[in-house]
Amino acid sequence: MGFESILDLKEPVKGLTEPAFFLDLNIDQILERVTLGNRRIRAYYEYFPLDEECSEYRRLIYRDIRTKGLFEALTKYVENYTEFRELERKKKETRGDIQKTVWNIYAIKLYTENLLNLYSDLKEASLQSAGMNALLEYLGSTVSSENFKDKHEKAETLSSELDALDVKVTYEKGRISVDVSDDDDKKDDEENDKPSYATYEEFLNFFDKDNDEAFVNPFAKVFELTGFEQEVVKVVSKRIPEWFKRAEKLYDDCSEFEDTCYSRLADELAFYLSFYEFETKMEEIGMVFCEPECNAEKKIEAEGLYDLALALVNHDKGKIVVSNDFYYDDKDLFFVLTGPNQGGKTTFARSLGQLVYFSMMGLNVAAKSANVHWFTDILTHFSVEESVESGRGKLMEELVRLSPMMKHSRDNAFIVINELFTTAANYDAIIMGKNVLAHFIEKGCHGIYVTHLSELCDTDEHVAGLSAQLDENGIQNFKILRKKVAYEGCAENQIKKYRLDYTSLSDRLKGIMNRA
Amino acid sequence: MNVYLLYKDREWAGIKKYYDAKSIVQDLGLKTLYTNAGKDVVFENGSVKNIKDQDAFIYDTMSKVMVAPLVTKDEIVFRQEIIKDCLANEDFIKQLYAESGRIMSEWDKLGRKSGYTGRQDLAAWAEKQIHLTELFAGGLKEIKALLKKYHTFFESEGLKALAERMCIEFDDEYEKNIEKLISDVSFYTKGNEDKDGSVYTHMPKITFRGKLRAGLKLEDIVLEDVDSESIKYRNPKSTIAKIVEFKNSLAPNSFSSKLTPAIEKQVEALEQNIVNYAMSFTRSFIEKFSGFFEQLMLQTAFYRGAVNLRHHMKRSGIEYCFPTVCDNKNLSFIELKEFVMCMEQRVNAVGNTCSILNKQLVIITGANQGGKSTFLRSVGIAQVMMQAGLPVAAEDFSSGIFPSLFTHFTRREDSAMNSGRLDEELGRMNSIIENLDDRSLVLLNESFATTTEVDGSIIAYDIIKALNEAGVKILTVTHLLSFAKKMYSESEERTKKGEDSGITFFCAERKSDGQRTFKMIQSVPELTSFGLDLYKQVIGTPKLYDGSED
Repeated sequence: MGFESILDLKEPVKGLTEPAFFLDLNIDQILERVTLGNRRIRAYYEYFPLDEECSEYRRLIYRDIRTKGLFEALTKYVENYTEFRELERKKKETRGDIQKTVWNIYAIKLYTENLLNLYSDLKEASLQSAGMNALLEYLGSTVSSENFKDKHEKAETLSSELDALDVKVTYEKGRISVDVSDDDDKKDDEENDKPSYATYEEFLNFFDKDNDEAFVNPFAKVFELTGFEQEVVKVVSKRIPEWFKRAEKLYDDCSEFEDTCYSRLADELAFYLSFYEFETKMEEIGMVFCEPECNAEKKIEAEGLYDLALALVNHDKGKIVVSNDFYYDDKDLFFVLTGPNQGGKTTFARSLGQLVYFSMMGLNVAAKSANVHWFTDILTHFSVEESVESGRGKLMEELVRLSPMMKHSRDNAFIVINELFTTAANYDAIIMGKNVLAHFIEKGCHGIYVTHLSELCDTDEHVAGLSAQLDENGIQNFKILRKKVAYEGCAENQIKKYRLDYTSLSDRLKGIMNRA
Repeated sequence: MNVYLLYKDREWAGIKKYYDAKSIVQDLGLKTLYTNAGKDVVFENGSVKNIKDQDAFIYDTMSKVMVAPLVTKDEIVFRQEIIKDCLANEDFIKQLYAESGRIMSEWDKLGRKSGYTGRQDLAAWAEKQIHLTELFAGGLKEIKALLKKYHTFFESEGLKALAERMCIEFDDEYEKNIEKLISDVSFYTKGNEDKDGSVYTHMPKITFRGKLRAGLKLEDIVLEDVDSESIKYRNPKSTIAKIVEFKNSLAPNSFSSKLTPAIEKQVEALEQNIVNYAMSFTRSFIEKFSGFFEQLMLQTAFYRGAVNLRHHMKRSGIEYCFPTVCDNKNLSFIELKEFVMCMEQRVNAVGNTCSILNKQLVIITGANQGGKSTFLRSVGIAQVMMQAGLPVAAEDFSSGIFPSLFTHFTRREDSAMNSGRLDEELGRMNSIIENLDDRSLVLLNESFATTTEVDGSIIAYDIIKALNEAGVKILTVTHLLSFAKKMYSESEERTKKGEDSGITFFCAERKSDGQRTFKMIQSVPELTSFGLDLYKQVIGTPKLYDGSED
């Protein structure tokens, strides 16, 4: 019985390059918010599940995390694990032998407590996913072993004994004196000039009880013992010599105890946790997410789908984003989307791409409800500014980028094409566009093609025409419908002039004086 | 903590200025007033001993406060009362202003303008914070003592309230504690001190508790006490110092703070962190009172300036009074002087006495060099001073409150006739109109002089008539005689019908022998500007002049 990866990765992620479509679909912007700029977490988002099973494996785990309230427990686990690693690092790096043994106590304590806590949290939740259940089983076998219990107990005892010691330092007339006492023999030392407050902070609070600045421990800058602390430790070791012997023994018996499986778990959980945290935050500000249904039939549709990247930007500016409903009919493979400029065409195309991406990753999507089947890949082609470096014309540039996309595309990929061939003559562009569409349709790909050429709508029975809309005032409403419309311009306001003659001035003054 | 000396319930910030304050300052010559407010006149035995150099800060303050009008009678009285207290207790306001000035300049030396940053440099921050706290605490103590000393002499609400607020917000407990804090950390800033012939040095006396945690690191440090003690300094190389050091080293479980260079550094860091921690609690104190000192300096500068202005009046023998607020339709005064001119020419100019009741439009015509503009300016200056709460150069002055005060003076350099200038003038007029309200006073001096008299009269008639009917109060000096005449005949017609036109006419007074008194009197507008007088004087009686009235 084994447990390897919560992500169902065949091997740990490393050094993958960012998929080409991240930039085109603004997924990079979304991931920036999801991962808060953490490159290590980001790497998991750049890895594409190899198959439908992997996608499903993750989806079920993510559902468990969401519905069984596991977020807190798992986050705690990851945090503690990070702290544990820090202790291990200090234990290995320190030059002081006496310190090694004490780091070791705390590392064992944290490690064992962390696993015990995770085990009991997972046991309480009635887990549904295969992945989580496998983890629970593996944890159970770890924490029930005698060796595990023994080192846990020893570390626990040693640390609590040290904790009970109280160190009092007095610095006066250039000398520092140290006084060590137990919680037991804590005596109230009566001094003549004892201040009226118990701690200096009590006095300071008089000035500003809301001051949030804490005293900065000057010894905490380095993890090794400072000269000052060494002197303090000397006094302590005189007091409890037997404790130090036991600590040494524990180090000799048990200093390598980490199971790498748990280390990998701590890393990989970040994938789910970062997205969960992001999703929760977005829901708090009113954005909607749902778990996509993934059917075996070739269905793809959604209600209330929106561009998550745009929604993030708009929210910062206090604007809302328009959502759309859509469906591919059984015979539909491609949408050809036309309509006025700035009408939300590109946004709609991006939101489709995002929908496919996040559902492939086994995560939730930005829509009220969605139904997305498995795609092997996502391919995008967005127009770019003419490249000065290559010196090629824009059309050439486009074709050069399009060629590998067409040659290497796998069957059943999802294609997003935005404004191809804008610099070519319409006649040529229509012919080229039709060919591109026919190529992908033949391969059984789904996709969307944004263009100003409405002629492309009538290419093929597998193509459905969509268009961006204007409202009754001729203003874009960013709604995408299954039909074509023409574009209309907006009117401009006129400018008024002022007058100073008696009649008009008297008139103006009535308004001016009433205003006051 | 609030100063609240300029207003009963707010500090000097974001106060609305006159719409076109720049024009008002230029047209009424207010800069002279600011300048003199900044220069104190020192008297000795009733005569002028000397005049002090200009205080730039007072000038600056007057230039801000005077163009931000008070809008209610209560606000005006509030300031008037404080000025009365200041005039009765000149030493008080002088000391208060001097102390605020001292604090501000010391604060400047500590880098006031460089802002409140630079916390990365712990040592520099701590030192600055300690000095600042000491400066503020010392200053507050002084100011509190000063207010307490004069408290019983105060009649004004503003000063009484300030004294009371000060005793609450910087009470004796606060004073005691902040002094203790400064003394606790004095080991950090104070060097050696000579006392009774020996040298004393300030040494820290610190106790704290902590726990040994993972890796045996000292953590969870809780400071129990921080203190400084003054200890007799001994040369470390001296025998006695060595004996003491040896004796100390025998104490169990203790070590010298200079045991190794590393420990010495760690102890220094400990001291540093303690001081920074302790002083971080004074941030709110500094924040609370930094605004206070800035406000106090500005607000006392205003009253200091008011006292100086009174000295300038005394110097020229001008009577002063605190104006009373009356209905906006009325304007009356006794022996009103053009204060700016008095100060510029160091004279006690001719005063005017008028009672203009129930009039919304005052049209002033008459001889050149007859005192028309002076008259208009004297009213404008007094109005601005009254609306700043200041006393005015008159035996009595009573007017309404006009927060929307506008001046529209044709300046000498503008007088050349050219259409571009007229455009500009109309543009200026238009922007005034756009900003009128029901508490507007417009002072027009030779407006629309940039065109011919015929055109100018038509424009003036249209605009002034419309403004008058809309309820805007206007005082206008004009040479546009056909305009004045037309207004006069319309006014007469209404008077015949038994209506009050609300319009009155003023002329420069002229004795029957042609001599000018520079006083303005209510009279029928005259037809000539008495250029003929001059003609007669210089050349002789003009032959082609029939002397008829129309």
